Amino acid sequence: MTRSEIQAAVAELLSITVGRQILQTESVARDSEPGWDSLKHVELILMLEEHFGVQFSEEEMAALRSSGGIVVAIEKKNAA
Amino acid sequence: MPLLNTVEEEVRAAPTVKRADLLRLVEPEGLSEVHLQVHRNYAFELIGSVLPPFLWLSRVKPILIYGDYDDSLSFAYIKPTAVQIVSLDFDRYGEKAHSAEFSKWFADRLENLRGQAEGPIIVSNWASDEERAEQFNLELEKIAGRLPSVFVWNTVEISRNMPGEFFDQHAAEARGTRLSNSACIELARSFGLVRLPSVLFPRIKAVALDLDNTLYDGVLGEDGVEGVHISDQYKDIYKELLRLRDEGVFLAVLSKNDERDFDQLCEKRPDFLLQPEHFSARSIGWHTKPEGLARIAEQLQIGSDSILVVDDNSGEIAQIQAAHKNTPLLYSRSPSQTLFWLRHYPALNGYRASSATPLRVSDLEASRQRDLLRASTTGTDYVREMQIEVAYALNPLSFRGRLAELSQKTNQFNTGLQRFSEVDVARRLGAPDHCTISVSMRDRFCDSGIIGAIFARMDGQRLVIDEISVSCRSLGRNIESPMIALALAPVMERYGLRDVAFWFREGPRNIPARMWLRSFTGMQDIPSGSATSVAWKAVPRLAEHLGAPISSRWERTTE
Repeated sequence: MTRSEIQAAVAELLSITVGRQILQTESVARDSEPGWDSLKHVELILMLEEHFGVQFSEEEMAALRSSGGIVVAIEKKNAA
Repeated sequence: MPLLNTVEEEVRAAPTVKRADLLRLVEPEGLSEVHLQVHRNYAFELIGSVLPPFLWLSRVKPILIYGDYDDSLSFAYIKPTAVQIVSLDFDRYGEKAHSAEFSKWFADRLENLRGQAEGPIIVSNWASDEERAEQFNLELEKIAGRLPSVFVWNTVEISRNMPGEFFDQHAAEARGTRLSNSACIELARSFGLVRLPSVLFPRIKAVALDLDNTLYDGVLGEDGVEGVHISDQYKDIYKELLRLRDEGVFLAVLSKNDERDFDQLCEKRPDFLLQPEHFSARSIGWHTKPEGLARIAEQLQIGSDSILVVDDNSGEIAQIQAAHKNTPLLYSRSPSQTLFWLRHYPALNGYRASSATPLRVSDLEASRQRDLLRASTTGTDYVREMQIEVAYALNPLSFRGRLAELSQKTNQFNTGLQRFSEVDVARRLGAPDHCTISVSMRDRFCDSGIIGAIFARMDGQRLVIDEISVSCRSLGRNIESPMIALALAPVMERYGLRDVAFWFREGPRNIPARMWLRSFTGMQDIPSGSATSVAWKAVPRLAEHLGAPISSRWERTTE
């Protein structure tokens, strides 16, 4: 899976999570996105795990705080 | 109820449903909000967030109200919601949950909630195969049976049957639950399609089935009896239909076909497990489907809005939709999907077994025999020939579910239209100066079970009847007046009452109740929203009613 494909999927899942359209090129951070609360964060993780077939530990879940960070984390998991 | 199993519903019926696919769905317009208060000790929110797409099919928009996680079930702030949900991770209680005291404590907490909340309570059981959990679940069934309007949500069954793991320990603390993502979705699916609709809505009463490419592959008129193909999936559909019939749901055939071909199919294909006697009504011929559906509704003596039509022809589905706007519909696209929706169609499954429902099917056949008898006899002879036996019970606690069902579902012979819930009935049964009478009936053709409810209270020297509801299954025997007079007479006498007053409220379909009140009281003016009072001894033809040729008896009066 290419970086661009990962970015597109993450943007789409983030859009579902926060309830607004997020572009693939847009950088979104959890701290500045009101709709990205703790429950939505768990839901986002579940959708990422579903979509990419990966698992995140509790520490990794806590560390995922931006769209860019998520893309990097998934790339690492795919490469592992 | 809408048309189901179009492409739009595919997501919800998939063997494995993805969270993202559910959350992508767009909420339809015109839904009714239903408030649900959730009492839990884990992140039920992960179930709650994917619940709406399933409930939208029942035109419901759920509004979930959560408090803090509460292992102690203190029920400190009960909101006036439509339904209360109690869902616990019982393993959180550790060894405590393995003691006998735990069940008693849980029963006490549910009683506490029952005392505070008005609406139904849905309580999930313990999703575990451990012996202690099995014992607890058996006890929970008993507790739920004892308390009015408390329903068990069988999560054990879901945990056994779902694909994938039910529990997922990874990152459980961060997620707030040990339930896997798939389990949360399966639980939402079962709750949203089956459990909650069965508590909110009356049950669909009949399933009307097309034949060609719905109950087998092929066209009977072209391929012939031996040419149509019956796969194992179709056999599973037949078994599902027979299960529904055993639970009191009528089956009917609604098909453009030659009736003789259908009878031959039943006779010559042993793998077609359905037989003519399984179908309580049929419309097989060349008239339109909407006309056929109207005929079936007439034969079954029910409204077309309580018949689920299953058909593979989208054009004919559209015709039915246009002519019968409120008829629930299932588009039969493949046997596997038909099977899924027969198991999950909202308001078709998940209902508590009632002593009355299986009787409905046999009662219909009996009513045809009664019609034949009526044609050959007249008046009193007809009543005598039917050998009617009526049994009454005063304040019968164990019948409260059926009494509430009669109050809520009876439309034609319902004087008060009070729509008493099971909780209301339970309160009336325990209240001083109130008397509630159940009426059971049998005749030479069949046992109809409990067909009537009389909800009354004493007011000085008056017996005020807040409602009489009589099932339409028992109407037409022309014995309503004797049946009610024989119920009221001992109560009037026992408490030395002078007058009887009938509360009446007009509804769209309760003309038979008003006509009966006119006849029974001798009053032509039966105003809606007030009580019509008459001196008991001045009830016209009272002696005739009390001397009618029907046998009556009183069963155990209190429990």
